[in-house]
Order: sequence, then structure tokens, then C-alpha cells
Amino acid sequence: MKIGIVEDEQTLREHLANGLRAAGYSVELAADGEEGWYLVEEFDLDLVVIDLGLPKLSGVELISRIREKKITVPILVLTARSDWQDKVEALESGADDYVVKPFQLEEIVARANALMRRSVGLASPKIEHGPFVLDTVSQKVTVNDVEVELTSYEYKILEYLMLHSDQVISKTRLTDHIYEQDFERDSNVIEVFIGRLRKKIDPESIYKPIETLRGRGYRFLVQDSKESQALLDQ
Amino acid sequence: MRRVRDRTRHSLSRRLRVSATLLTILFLTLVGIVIERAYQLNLLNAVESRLQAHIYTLLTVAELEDGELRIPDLLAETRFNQFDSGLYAFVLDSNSQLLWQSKSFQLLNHVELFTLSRDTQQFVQFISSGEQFNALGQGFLWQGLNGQTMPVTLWVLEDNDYFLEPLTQFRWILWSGLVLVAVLLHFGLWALMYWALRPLKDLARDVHAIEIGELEALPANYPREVRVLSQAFNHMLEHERRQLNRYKSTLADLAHSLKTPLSVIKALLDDPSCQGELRHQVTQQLTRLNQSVSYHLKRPIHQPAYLKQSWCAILPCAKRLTNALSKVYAEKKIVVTLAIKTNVMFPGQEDDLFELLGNLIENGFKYGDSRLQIFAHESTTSGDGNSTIRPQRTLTLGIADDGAGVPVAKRLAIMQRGVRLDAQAEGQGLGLALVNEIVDKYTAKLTIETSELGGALFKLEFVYTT
Repeated sequence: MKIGIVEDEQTLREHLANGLRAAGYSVELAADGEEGWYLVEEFDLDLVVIDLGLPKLSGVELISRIREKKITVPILVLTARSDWQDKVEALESGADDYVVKPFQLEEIVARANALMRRSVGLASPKIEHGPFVLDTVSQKVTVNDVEVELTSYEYKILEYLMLHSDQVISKTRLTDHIYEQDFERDSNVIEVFIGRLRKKIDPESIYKPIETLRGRGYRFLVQDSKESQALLDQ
Repeated sequence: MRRVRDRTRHSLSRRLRVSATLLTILFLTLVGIVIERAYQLNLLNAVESRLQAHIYTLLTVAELEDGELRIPDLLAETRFNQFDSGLYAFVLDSNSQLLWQSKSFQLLNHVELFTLSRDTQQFVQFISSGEQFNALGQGFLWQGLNGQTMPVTLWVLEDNDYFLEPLTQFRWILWSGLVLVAVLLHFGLWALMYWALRPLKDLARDVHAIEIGELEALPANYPREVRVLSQAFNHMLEHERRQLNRYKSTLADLAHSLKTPLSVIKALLDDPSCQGELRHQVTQQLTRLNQSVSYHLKRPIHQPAYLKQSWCAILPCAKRLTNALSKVYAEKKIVVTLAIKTNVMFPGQEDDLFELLGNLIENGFKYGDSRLQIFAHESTTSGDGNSTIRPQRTLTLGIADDGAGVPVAKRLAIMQRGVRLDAQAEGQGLGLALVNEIVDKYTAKLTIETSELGGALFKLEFVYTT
């Protein structure tokens, strides 16, 4: 999952970036409103954290521009001003949640997590598809109630696929959401991760949850859903 | 020590009305007295002339024969012939002995009319037996046909009634006329003062309208003299508003410039390289510092009544807040019911209403399970009929949720500054302390009860005069 951070205070920006990276997200950074707009336009972000007091283009202006362009990325606002009118104005301009400065990093991670789940229509922090359960808070994956040990990248790929289940996700999109901008992209790495994931979560190949669609990408679909999908395809 | 006069005891119109009334009475009384006096003098002159004419008439019929003065018994003026008619005449010799008297003459007690020397005349007024008389006497040296002479004094007396009667009549006409003039003048002056003082009354009404937030500035349609004042007042108001806005934006900038460094310090403390007791201590102090900064920056700004914004409608504010917070707490799928009529107004500043409702509604979203009710209604307590007591209105605002509610024991504590019921729920202590500050500012009342939904009900009551 890729998160954009638009914050003019360098120390705070780095702190947020480190915290979110540690929580398993890939992060893109911007130091002012214009750069923030570039981030949102350029990357397919899963969430953007925007400070309201930004140089060049204010936070509210940036949010309004994002929503005017029909970009539906969830927006978490950071604000030093805790007036309700400011909060309401930020939310009305298109933000989805706000955190008042100074904040706890854990709070940002929890809110970011909740917002990203909400954006794909999940109410609970647990994503369940048949025997596969992924807890976005504890970052644990269980299959038939048995915990599966995953590396950070494996978890990121599985989380993204499960959040966007039933959708075909291209390798490029997966790379974009999992790695940061300056990472050297190699599509083979994704294939290796997918291979390892399949072995870890479905060693007997009973459910075959990750489907490969040649030349198009991958799709997370469990057996029950596969049958209904097949009916739909007919 | 300099004594301060109480200027508030009498209103301007009362001062003018009383002084105009007193002046009118004084002026018209003086005018009445002068006119009456002039008429009286005129009347006395007329009496004297009349008595003089009677003397001449008597002289034409009087004769001196054999050393005796003879005047016919019956005279042309019938009042001389009729006893006690009120017109009398008599003649005295040089020894004040009565030589002749008219038939009408009565014995006047204690009348000491005296002889007058030759060719002198005297007009006197005297009282005898309780009756007042006007008398004119003239001294002659009477010369008979045979050349004999006799010094005599001829007195003609007239009852004062002949003087008083026209005077009384005149007085009645004069004073009733003056009273009528006074009444007309009085009403005229009152009307004049009402018209002249009208702009001041309008000014007072407009200033009150500013106080209660119905007007933002004084209108420009006053007479020239008042316009100077209204323009100065408007300038002052504008200046104060600008000052307040500057103050507010300075506070907002201060908030931003304080909170970002606080966030940075917090971030630095989160770094794994910073460990141990120092980190713990700094974190603790930082939390205190942050709470203090947040509290003082968000405290309601007490501004003078005349700078109050217009009354603000509650419904749009509640709608904006619930819409915004429904987005933040989307996962809880809380059903919000707003029982607020569009015409229900908050008697104060919009900022304060936002802070009040924002904090209480957010609590509702946080602690409620599935339902949140917000209501507002107004009721009027009529005055006692006395114009000085205006009718009072009470605005009741309520925010009810279906959460766990507030335990009775904690209801008092929750309203104290900085007391947090649930340390996990961020910002609650501060939010409610700010609600408490605003409640104080408006001398309103906040009660925490159990709502019909089963959770907490925060009820606010604002009493104000219309």
C-alpha cells in the first residue's frame, strides 16, 4: 500500500515516513502543496496525508483540487488548528479524517489503516475470504485459523490483493503500491513473491486463491467466489 | 474627592419636558401678573376720572347763599339720591365740619376724610366697616354771588365693587386664556421635543440592535449632529472588529507555529536512539505543554457585546458538523436525528456554537453505539407587564447518544478542566473543558443526564432577553 505524505516540516515528514514504512507501507514524500499535487497525479496512491498549513498551495486548496479532478484517494488531514470550523472545512473540502498536531504516530497508522480499508468497502480491520483471514492491525495472516508467517513484502502483496479481491491487479500496479519511487523495478521479483505466497498460504493447492491471468496480472479469488465469477463470466 | 453627579437619574426627554413645563408656567404667570397690574392701573384711572366727573357735576349745582352752601336734594345722578347706593358725596368746611352730604351717604365709621387746601386734589383708597372705597377729594375756595368766599372740600366716594367687578371679569378671562395657552404650548413643546429627540431615540434603538447582533453598524440616515457621533461609533466598531480578527489570526498562527515544533519534538522522542528516563520525563512535560497550549489557544475569546456577530442558526451548523463527523466515524454507521427547526437561533458567536456542538457531537459519535439525537428548541418566559422587564427566552440544546452514558459520580468531575474520563479517547477532557468555558461565557447551564436512548444526554440551557 502506498501512502503520500505532504508536510512542509522536514523532521515531521521524515518521522511520519519512517513510522509508516515501519508499519509496512511504502511512502512518497512532498514538501509543499504543488509537490503534493504532483504526487497525487503521478502515483496511484492508496492514501495521502496532507498538512493543512502548506506553502505554495494550501492543504484545503490541494484537497479541493484532488476532489475536483475526481481522484478518490482517501485523505487524512494533519492540522495545527483545532477549531471545529477548520476541521469541518477540511472535511467538507474532501478530506476523510483529521488528526490534530501534535499526534502519536500510532494514531496516524491506525487512522491510515482504517481509511484505506474503508476505501475498499471494508468495515472491519480483518479481511476475510473463505479460510483466508488477514488482520490489517496486527498484520497477521491465518488460513483455517492457522497463522502463516510472511515476510514484509509478502504481507504487503497479499494485503493489496485481498483488499482488491476480484480485481485483476497488474504487476506494475503491484510494484507501484509496494515499492517506493526510487526502487529498482524488476517484475521477476513480484513473480518470485507470488510463488512464495502461494506455497505459504495454500501449500496443498486446495484453494488456489491467487490466479495468474497471463499478460494481465493477478487476481485474488477463493473457491466460492470463483464459482460465482465463472457463472458471471458465462 | 470629586463628587460624581448621577447623570442617569433623569432622561433627556424628561429633563426637557420638566424644564419646558416649568418655564411655560413661570413665563405665563409673569405675563399674567404684568397684564393684570396694567389693567388694574387703567381701571383705577377710570375710577378717578369718573369721580372727577361727579365732582364737576356737583359743582355745577352747588351755590353759596348767606354763607351757606346749598346743593339740591335731588341730583341728576340717581345713585346720589338712593340710600346706600355705593356712590356718595359730602362737603367739609375748613374745620372738617360736614356742610353737606348726599342722600345716599351712610355714616361711615372711622372715616377720617380730611380737608384739602385750595385747588388741591387727592385720590385715596380706604376701608371702612370691612368695605373698601375709592375716594376723590378736591379743595375749593367757594365764591358766592355777593362776593363772599368759603374754603370747602368736596369728597366723592365710590364702593370698590365698581372697581372690582370689571377687574374680576378681566382676571377670569385673562387667566383662563393663559391656562389655555399654557396647555396648548405644553403639547406643542412635547410634540416638538418628540420630533427633535427622535434621532437620539433611533440611535439608542440601533445601538441596542448592535448589542444583540441584529445590526452590524449604525445606519447613515441620522441628522448631521448625530451623524458625527454615529460615524465615530462605526469607525470604533470597525477598528475593534479588525483588532479582534487580527487577534484571532495571530492566535491561529501561534497555534500553527507552536504545534508543529511540538510535533517535531514528539517525533524526535519517538526515535529509537532516544531512550530512558529523560525520554519519559520530556514526553510527560511535552504532553502537559501541549495540553496547556491547546486549551489556551482554543479558549473562547471574550469579546464585548457590541462585537457579537449576528445570531446564528443552529441547524446549518449541526448539519455541517454531523455530515463531517459521519464521514470520520463512517465505520460506526451512526444514525443521526436532528430535531431542530430552521428558525431556532443561537444567541452568540458562530465560533462558539461550532466549538460547543463540535465537541459534544464528536463525543456522541465516539461513545454512541448506533444512534445520536440532537435537538434544539426555544421557549419564552413573558415579562411581568412592566415595560422595564423584557420577556426572557430559553434555548435548550441537547445531544443524546445510546452509548454507555456517564456514571452519576463522574458527571461533576467530567466538567472540570483537564479531567479526562477515558484517557484512551483522545481530546475528550480538553473538549469538555472548552464546552464548560463557553457555557460560562454565556452564563448558560450544562447538565449531564441519561438520555432516552440509554446513553448520555448533554443538555445546555441559554437564557437571554430578546
